[in-house]
Amino acid sequence: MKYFINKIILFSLFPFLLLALSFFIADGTTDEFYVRFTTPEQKSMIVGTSRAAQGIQPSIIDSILNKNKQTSALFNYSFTVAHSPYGPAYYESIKRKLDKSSKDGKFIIAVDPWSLSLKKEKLNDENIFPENDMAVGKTRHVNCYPNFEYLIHSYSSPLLMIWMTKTLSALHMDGKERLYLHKDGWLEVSVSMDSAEVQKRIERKINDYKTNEVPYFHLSPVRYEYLRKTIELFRNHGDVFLVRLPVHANFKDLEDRISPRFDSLMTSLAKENNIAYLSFINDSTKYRFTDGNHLYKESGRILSKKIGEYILSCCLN
Amino acid sequence: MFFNSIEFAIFLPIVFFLYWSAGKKSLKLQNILLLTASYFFYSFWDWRFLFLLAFSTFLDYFTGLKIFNATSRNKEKIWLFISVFINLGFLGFFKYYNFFIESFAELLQSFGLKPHFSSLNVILPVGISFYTFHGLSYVFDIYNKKIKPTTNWVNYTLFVSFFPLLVAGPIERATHLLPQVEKPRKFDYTKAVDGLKQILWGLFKKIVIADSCAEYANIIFNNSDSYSGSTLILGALLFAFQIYGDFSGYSDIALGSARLLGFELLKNFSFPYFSRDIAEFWRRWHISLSSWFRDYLYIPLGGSHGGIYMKMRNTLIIFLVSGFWHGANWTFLVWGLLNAVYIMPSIIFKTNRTHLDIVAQGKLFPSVKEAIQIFITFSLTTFAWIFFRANDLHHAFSYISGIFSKNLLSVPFLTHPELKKSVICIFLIIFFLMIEWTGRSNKYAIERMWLTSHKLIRWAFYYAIIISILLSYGKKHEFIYFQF
Repeated sequence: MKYFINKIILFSLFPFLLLALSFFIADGTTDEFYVRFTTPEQKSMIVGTSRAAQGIQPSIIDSILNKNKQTSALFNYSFTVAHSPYGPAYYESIKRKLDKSSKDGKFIIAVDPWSLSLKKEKLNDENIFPENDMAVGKTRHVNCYPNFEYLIHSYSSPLLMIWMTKTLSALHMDGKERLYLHKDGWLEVSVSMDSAEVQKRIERKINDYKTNEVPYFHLSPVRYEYLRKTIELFRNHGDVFLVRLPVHANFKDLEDRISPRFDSLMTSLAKENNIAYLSFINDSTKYRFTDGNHLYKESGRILSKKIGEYILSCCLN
Repeated sequence: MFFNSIEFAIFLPIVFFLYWSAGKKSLKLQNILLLTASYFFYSFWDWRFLFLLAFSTFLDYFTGLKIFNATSRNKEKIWLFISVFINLGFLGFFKYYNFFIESFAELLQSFGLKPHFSSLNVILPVGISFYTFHGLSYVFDIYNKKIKPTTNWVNYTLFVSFFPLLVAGPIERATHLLPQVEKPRKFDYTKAVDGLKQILWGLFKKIVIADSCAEYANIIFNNSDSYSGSTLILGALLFAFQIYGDFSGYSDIALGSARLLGFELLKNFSFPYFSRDIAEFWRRWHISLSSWFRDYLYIPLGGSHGGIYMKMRNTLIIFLVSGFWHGANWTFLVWGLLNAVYIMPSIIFKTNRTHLDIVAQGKLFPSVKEAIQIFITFSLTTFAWIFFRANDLHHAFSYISGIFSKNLLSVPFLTHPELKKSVICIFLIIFFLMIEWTGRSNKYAIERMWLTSHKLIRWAFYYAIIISILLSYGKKHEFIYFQF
């Protein structure tokens, strides 16, 4: 028996070390989510979908606010429209990530019709919201490093791929579209901005949304209620800003089909809660998009600066 | 807790260590520990169903004693009936209630009636088909005077709920497993290593073969309307290997885990895809279920006595019941029926026991005749799997008509970008078949592989398997047979 156990330990050493090290080398190259679950609780946050994850750069806003000693570091806790639309799963996850001692935090809540919508047949039953079974809904521990829970239950590739993606990234061999998740939660997407390629991507994205999403999605009162609860939660810990990010003009048309009066809906929600609402939805021409839905990083920087300046002006007044 | 989960990778070594440590003290302690571990293992799905498992166990334990102590054959029959009625009642309710209600409603609708039956949101308790059959075999064996009932409650409960076989078999017999539970077990180094090797091979089958095939089989089956005939054939082929890798992989892990703990479970698979006819296939596929139906249904129905007509009738019944056992769907019934049709010629011409040996034993390759036989048997089986995998009968028939009506000569990997990587599955399957062919005379394919080679070679081989498992371990697919 002793011999058997010794031999097994010896034999298992190599695969065990390989696996164990995978947990410790996981970083921003691993995937689009992992790093966000490895940082401590946050005093200031950005929440929303992939639009905010890629479009709002905390470091830019921080640099503006810090110069004026206005805030603790912002953290981008946005995921994707599938994982983090407003609802019970995301709300609970945000609560776990939020530092309860935060008193003068800054909170940016990115909104758009998709993050408040659902497929028709599931409009009101929050128990069967699709995101409940996804990473944001499943991950209970969102503030630990390494995050074994996430890597074991929600990481969608084999664990050994962590080695592979890290190596490929280091060698700059990770393909045409490179993703890197920064420690502040900003997802940097490096992709060719050749106009023909961009045009193709925009067309593809819009066609996909037109056929597969727009006909089925409707604003959900339950999601709206959770957005209201999120605002309420943040208001207890600092200043809250409701933001609608710009998209390509054709993409805006699709959004208008789902909710033609979305801006006025948000304006009244903001008024009701005594918070600011910034809509950049009509500024399509001022920014560049990777696919019509997401801001290119250079444009994201410009937008983040604008948001930062707006927050600063609010703080100074 | 799945066998391919991290939780099980932690659970098994802990149980192993505690179990053999307890073994030094007493058998009773060892069995209590295994029983606790088994109930803990089962509670991972839904602890509420532990009560159902406990009740089912108690029912068979109690009726077994009653049958044995009955003073007349009639009383024995009454107790047997009670056991069968309640066991099958639970199985019927959890597994078939909605099927019967919905089918009956559809039937009435076809006559222009508008019935108002409401189906229930019934959760199927994992493993109910398996542990019900464990318990029933025990009661049948007592009734048939093959065994005496045990008076040790712990031993009996462990026989029913032993965690390696609890949720997807093999379906054990009291005559085989109960004596092992009752006797002291000694740690055996060779057996333990053998168990680990079988677990490793089972994980390879499940994670590398079945899960890889599942990814593309699902794409093809879920979008079968838009694919060419050749792609649909690829889909059926991938599903054939998915279900084999999945279920036989599960069985290997079960057998290996049990062997680590000193138990020998019934063999469940014996290289079925190398069968030369359908009768041989069914002697090699899900052996514990086939033999269960043979012993407790086919033989009581009269078996092969009473001439060719009786034999055909009984065989048909067995296959239909077997199909229905798999699930409450017409697709499973047609799958069973199709297999019955396949096997009938060999029943009629009395050739169903022609191939009892191992194909091409001692040879590197099969003869041309054997290769053709294997190919035909495999093709027939794969065709039947289409019904097994399809969502409903309409889907199955449209899938089959798609094979023959759409372009059969296009190359799936080239015409559909989403299937490009499925070519990797084909190479994996070829590699897998080579290993299975090489080890076909063993209990499992890698049992004796590299056994006489230098330790370094052996370890390198095992590491290669481990690395391939780790490289494939990502998108987790549940074991197909858990739903049965």
